[in-house]
Amino acid sequence: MVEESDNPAIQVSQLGVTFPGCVALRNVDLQVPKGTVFALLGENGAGKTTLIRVLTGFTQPTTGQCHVLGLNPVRDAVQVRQRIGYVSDAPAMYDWMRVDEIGWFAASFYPDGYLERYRELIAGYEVPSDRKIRHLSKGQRAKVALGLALAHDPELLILDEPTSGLDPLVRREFLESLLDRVADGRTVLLSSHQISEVERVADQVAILHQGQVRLLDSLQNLRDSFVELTIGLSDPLVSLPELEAPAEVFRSQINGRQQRMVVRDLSPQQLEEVKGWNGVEHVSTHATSLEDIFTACLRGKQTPKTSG
Amino acid sequence: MNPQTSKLRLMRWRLLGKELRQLFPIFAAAPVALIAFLFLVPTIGEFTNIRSGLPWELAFQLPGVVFSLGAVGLLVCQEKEQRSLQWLAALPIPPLEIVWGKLLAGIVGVALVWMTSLLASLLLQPLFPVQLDLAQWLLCLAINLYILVVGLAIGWRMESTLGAMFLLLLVAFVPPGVAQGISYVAFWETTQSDINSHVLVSICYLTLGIAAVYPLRRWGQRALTATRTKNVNSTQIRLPYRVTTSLPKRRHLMSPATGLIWQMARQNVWSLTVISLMFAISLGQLAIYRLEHSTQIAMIAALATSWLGVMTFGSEAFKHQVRFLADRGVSPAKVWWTRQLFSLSILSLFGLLGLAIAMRVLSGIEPHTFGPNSGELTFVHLLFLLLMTLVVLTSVYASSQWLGQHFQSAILNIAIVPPLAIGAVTFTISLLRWLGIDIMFVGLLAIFPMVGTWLSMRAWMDGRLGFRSAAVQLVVTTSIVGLVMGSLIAWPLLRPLNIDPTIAKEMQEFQESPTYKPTFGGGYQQTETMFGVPRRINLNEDTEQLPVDFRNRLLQEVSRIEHDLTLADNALESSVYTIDGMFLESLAELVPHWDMETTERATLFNRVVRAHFQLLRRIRCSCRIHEQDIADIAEIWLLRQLMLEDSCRLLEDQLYNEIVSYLADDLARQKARRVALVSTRTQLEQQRMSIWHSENPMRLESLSIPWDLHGTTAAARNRQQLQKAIQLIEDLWVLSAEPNQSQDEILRRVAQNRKTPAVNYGIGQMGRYFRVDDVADVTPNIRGIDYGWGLLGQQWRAGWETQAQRLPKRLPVSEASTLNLNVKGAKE
Repeated sequence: MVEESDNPAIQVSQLGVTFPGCVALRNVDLQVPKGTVFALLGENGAGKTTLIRVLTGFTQPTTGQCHVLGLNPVRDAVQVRQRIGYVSDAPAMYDWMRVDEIGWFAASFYPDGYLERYRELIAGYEVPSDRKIRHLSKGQRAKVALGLALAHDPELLILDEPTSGLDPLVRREFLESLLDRVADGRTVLLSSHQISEVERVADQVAILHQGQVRLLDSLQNLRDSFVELTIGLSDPLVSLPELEAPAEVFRSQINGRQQRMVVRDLSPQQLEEVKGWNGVEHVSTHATSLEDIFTACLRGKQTPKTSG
Repeated sequence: MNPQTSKLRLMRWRLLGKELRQLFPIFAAAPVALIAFLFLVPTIGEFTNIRSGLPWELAFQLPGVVFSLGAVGLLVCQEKEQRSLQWLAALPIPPLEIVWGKLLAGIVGVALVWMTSLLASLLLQPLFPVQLDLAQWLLCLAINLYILVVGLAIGWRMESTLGAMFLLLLVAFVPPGVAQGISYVAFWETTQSDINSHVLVSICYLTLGIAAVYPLRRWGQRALTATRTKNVNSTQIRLPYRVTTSLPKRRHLMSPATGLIWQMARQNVWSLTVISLMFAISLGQLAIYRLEHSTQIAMIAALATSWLGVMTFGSEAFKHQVRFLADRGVSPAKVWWTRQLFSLSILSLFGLLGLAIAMRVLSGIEPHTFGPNSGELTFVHLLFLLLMTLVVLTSVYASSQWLGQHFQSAILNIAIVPPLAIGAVTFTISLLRWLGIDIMFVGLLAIFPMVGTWLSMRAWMDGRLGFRSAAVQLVVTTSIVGLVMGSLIAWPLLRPLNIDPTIAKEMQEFQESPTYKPTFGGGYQQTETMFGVPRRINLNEDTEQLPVDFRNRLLQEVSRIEHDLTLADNALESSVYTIDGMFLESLAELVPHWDMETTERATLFNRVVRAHFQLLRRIRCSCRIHEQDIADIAEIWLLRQLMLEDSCRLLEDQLYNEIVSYLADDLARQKARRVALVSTRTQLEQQRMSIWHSENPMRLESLSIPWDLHGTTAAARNRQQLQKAIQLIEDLWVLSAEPNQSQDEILRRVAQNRKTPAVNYGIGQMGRYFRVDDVADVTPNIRGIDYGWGLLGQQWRAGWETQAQRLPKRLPVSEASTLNLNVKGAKE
C-alpha cells in the first residue's frame, strides 16, 4: 500500500482540454512530487493557465484525468481549493473591502490562526492595512492576493504569474519564502514568464508548447543534458548530416558560415564525430541557460536568414 | 473639401455608428419589454382593482423608458466598467466629440423606439383598447429624452453604475414635482380641469432636460480629460506606501455563513437602501391611500422585488468578484442559501409589515374589490391576499435572481431584468387563468428558478455560466411546466360527465310532451308609449322641475306600470321586477299608512297589488331558471300580504281569491319550473368544454347561472362547472317532481353543494331553510339573484308553497251573510 505522503502532489495523465475552435491542452502527462517547486513555462497561449484552471477545478477536462493532493478536482473542487493556496493571473477580490477587512472575511473560511498570519504577511509586504482594495496599486493588490493565499499555510501553492507587478525587493523575498516552504515539505506549482526567477527556485520544469508538454525534467538534469554547439563552416552552403540518437537537436540556426545548435544528450563521441564532418572548420560547446532551452523548445529549427 | 474637415466628419459618423451599434442589445430588449408590459397590464388590473388598472397605452410607452435607462447604462456606465472609455479617451478625438456622439446616438435611439412604439400601438389597436392621445405620447417622448440627458450626465459624473441608475430613478420624478409646484403656486385660483397637466409636465421635462445638457457637457468633458488633483498642506500628506503603525482593529472571527451574510449586506448597502425605500413608499401608499393607487403600489413593490432578486447574485457580476469565494473553496451551496436567506428575509419582513398595515387600513374596503363572492374582508381574506401577493412577489424575485445570475452585466440586470421577470410572472398568471388552473400555481415559477440558480451555483462562482446552461434550464423548466399543465388540462377532459340516465330520460320525455312550451323572458313590448309618455308627465314642461307632490308622482308611476302591463303579452324578465315589482312592493307597504279616505286607500292598494300580481305571473311564464326564483320571491311577498291582517283587509274579495287560487296551484308552479329546468338542461348539453379560454365560456347564454357556476376559464374548471350545473339541475328536477314528500335531504345537498354567501332566506347555508314567516328579508336580496349570486331554486320547498295551499278563500258577500246569519241562529 502506498502512503499518501508518497503520492505526488499533482498527477496528470493524458489530459486534454478542447474549447470551441481551439485545442488548449493535448495529452498532457506530468507529476509534481511533494516538497518541490514545479515551474510551468510556456509562451502566451501555450495552455499554462488552462492547466492550472483544470487543476483547481475551474475548467473540466475534455479527456484524461488529474489528481491534486489525491483529490479529483472535477468532483472535489471545493475540497481541493480549501487545501491549496491559489493566486490566479487576475486575482478576484472584493475591492470595496479594506486590506485588513478582506483578511478577516477570508479567515471565516479557514482554520484558526489565518488572520494573524495574514496580518504578518501584509505587514511584511508593507501594504497599508486600512486602505480599500480598490485604492491599491497593481503590485499592492498582488501582495494582498499572495497574503490571502499563503495565510493558511497550504500544502500546495498554485501560482499563476504571481510576481507580475511586484517590485524587485518583494519579488526576491517572495521567491525565497517559496524555498522555505519547500523546505517544510510544502509543494509549489509556479507558472511564470520570468525565467530567471524560475531558474532560481524551481526544482522541476515543464515547458508547454501549443498545449503539449515539450519538455519535463528537473532543472539540474536540464542544465546537465543541454549543450549549445557552435559550428564554424568552411562554406555557408555546406549541408551537415543529422545528429543521431541519443542526441536530440532542439534548435538549429544558421547564420552565414556559423551554425548554432541547442542539443540534448550529446555524448563526447558524437561531439568528436561532429568535429570530423566535412566542411566543419571548428566546433565549440557552451553551457545553456534555462532561457536558451526555453527558446530552443519554442522556436525549434530556423531557416537561414535571408537578406533583403 | 478640406481633408481635415472630411476626416473629422468621417470620425463623427464612425463614432455615431459605434454608439448605435453599442445600443443594439437595448434595441432588441425594447420589444421584449413591450410584450412583458402587455401581459402586465391586464394582470395588474385583475389582481389589484379593475378600476385602477394600468391603461393599455402605458404598455406601449414604457419600453421607451426602459430604452432610455438602458441607453444611459450602455453608452457610459458600461464603457466605464469595461474600461473601454479609457481607450476611447486615449484616441486623438476631442473629448466633446465623444460626449456629443453619445448624446446624439441616444437621441436617435429614443426617437426610433418612440416612433416604433407609437406605430405598434396604432397597428395593434384592433387587439388592444388603446386610445391615441397625442399629448400623452409627447409627454412620453419628453420623459424619455429627459431620462437620457440627465442619465448621461449622472453616468459621466458617478463612478458606480448601480448608484447612477438609482439616482436617475429618483431624479426622473423631479419634473412632475416641479409641475405640481408650479400649478399649485401659479394656478391656485384656477380649477384643476382648466390646466392641461400633460402639457405642463411635458414643458417641465423638456426644460429641465435642456438644462441638464450643461452638466452633461461639463462632466463628460471632465471624465474624458486628465484627473484633477488638489494641493494639500504638507502636514496632511500621506504617502501612498506608508504602513499603518497603529495596531489592526480587533475583530471577532465569524462563521462562514455569518461572514457571507455580512459580505452580502455590506456590499449592497446602497442597493438595499434604495430597495427598502421603494418598499417603504409602496407600503406608505397603502397606508395613506389604501387601495386607491393599487397599481402604483403593485408596480413599485414588483420593481423593488425584482431588484432584490437581481442583487442576490447580480451584484457580484461586476468584475466577477465571487471568484474570491470560489478560489477559497467556499461551498457553493452555502453561498446560495446565505444569499437566499438574506434576500428572502427582507422580502418576508416587508411582507409582514404589509400585512400589519393592510390589517389596519383595509378593514371596511368594499368586498367586491377582491371578487364577487369574497364577502366581508376578514383576517383570513387579508392573510390569503398577503399569501397570494407573496407568492407572486417571490416568483418575481426568483425569476429576477435567475436572470441576474445569467446576465453578467449590471446594466442588463438593472434595466432589462425587471420587465423580463415581471413579464414572465404576469404571462404565467395569464396562462394559468387562461387554462383554468389556480393562480397559486404561479409559485412554480418561483421554484424552478430557485432550483436553477442552485444547480448553476458552482458554474456561476467559477465563471463558467453561459448561454448554453441558461438555454438548457429554460428548456427543461418549460418542458416540466408544460407537462404538468398539460396533464392538469387533459385529465378532466378525459373523464366523462356524471349524468343520471333516469333523470335524463324523464326530462327528454317531458320535453317531447305537448305541455313543454318554453317562453324566454323579456321586457315590456317595445312601443313608444311605454316609458316615454307617462314619464314625461313627471316633469313640469315649463320649469323642468319635479312636481312638488311626491305622492302624485308615485301614482303616475303606478299608472305607467299598469299601462305597460296592458301592452305586455310576453314573459317578463327579472329586470322588470327589480325596477317595477320592487317599486310596487314598496308602495304597497306605504299605502296602508297614508292619510287618505279608506275607500280611496283600498282602491289604490288593490291597484298596486293587482299590478304586482300581473307582473309576477308574466315572470313565472319565463323559462329562465333564475326568473323562476324571482317569481318565487314575488309570490312569497304576495303570500305575506295575504297573511298580514291590515293588508289583507284592504284587498277586494275577487282579487284576494284570484291570488289565493294562483298561489295554491302548486302543480302549475312546478310545471313552469320544470319547463325552465329542461330548457336549461338543453342549453347545458349544447355547451362544449374547451381547452382554450373563450370570451364567454359556460355563460349559458341568457340563463344567468350564478357566478359560482360560471366557467370563467377553460378546461378543468369548465368541466367542473358543467358537472356542478348538471348536478344542480338534476337535484332540482327531483325536487320539482315530488312536491308532497319531504325533500330535506336533497334540499340540504342543494345548499351544501352550492355555498353562496349572502343567502339568508329560503334555502340557507348548510341546508337551513326558512319558513314563510321569516321571509321579510327576501326583497332586499333580490339584486343578488338578478346578478347571479343567489342560489338556484333557493325558495323551493322552503315551506311557503304549503302555506299558500292552506289559505282559505273568501266567500261571496251573499254567502257570507247567510253563513253569518246561520251562525247567529245557531247561537240563539
